[in-house]
Amino acid sequence: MSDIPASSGVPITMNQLHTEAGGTSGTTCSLNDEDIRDLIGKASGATMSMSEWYGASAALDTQTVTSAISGTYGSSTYLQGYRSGVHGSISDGTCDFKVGATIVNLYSSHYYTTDRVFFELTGNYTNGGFTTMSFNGNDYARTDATFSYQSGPNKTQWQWTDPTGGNPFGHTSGTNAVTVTWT
Amino acid sequence: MITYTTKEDTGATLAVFSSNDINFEVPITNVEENNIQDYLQNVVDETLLHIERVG
Repeated sequence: MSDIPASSGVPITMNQLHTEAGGTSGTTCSLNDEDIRDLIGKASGATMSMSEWYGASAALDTQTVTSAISGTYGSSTYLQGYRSGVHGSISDGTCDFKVGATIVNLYSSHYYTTDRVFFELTGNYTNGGFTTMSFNGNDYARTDATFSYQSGPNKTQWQWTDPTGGNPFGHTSGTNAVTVTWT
Repeated sequence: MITYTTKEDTGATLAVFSSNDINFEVPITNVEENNIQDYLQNVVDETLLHIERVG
């Protein structure tokens, strides 16, 4: 989620633009830097209005996952997150960087000593379109994932095995709303 | 024996292959050459097991 204010009338700092673009906080930057211009799709030297910066975001998509637990947290086997029609929910569930694909599942699994995180779309899509999926302070690099297309259920899956952040959805009971971003 | 090709993706090496009607791209950048076959077979087995358990 972008830290840049979404509505006019709220001051925006250069540091907010810089860090949103992936720069280091407190270091020198300018509005004409390529990474900062890319937040609003401007070419070098192009005319721009200050109002265009409100709501600027480096994210390709942002979803809110209301994570729920299937099974008992801490037992040998349990799942957390969102699985369509099974547990949890997602808004809005449409993947913006895969031409409106449906996000069918976004969850973690714990099976004895192995933890995994899954991001799944309905349909057959290529292994691309994003660099990193982030939520709850954890970053999941696409190129660290096992990618697959499973023709039976017709779904595309990115799977991270034993990623850092042992409890990715951050709750041990009930539900927890987590903002997920893709960059 | 899993027959695979490789592709480079933003600094990572991925093994590309099909098994059990599933198309895989598996990162092998940090897997030693001698261990790649076992590693890929384990990925397939774990994926099939997960499908059986979870869907």
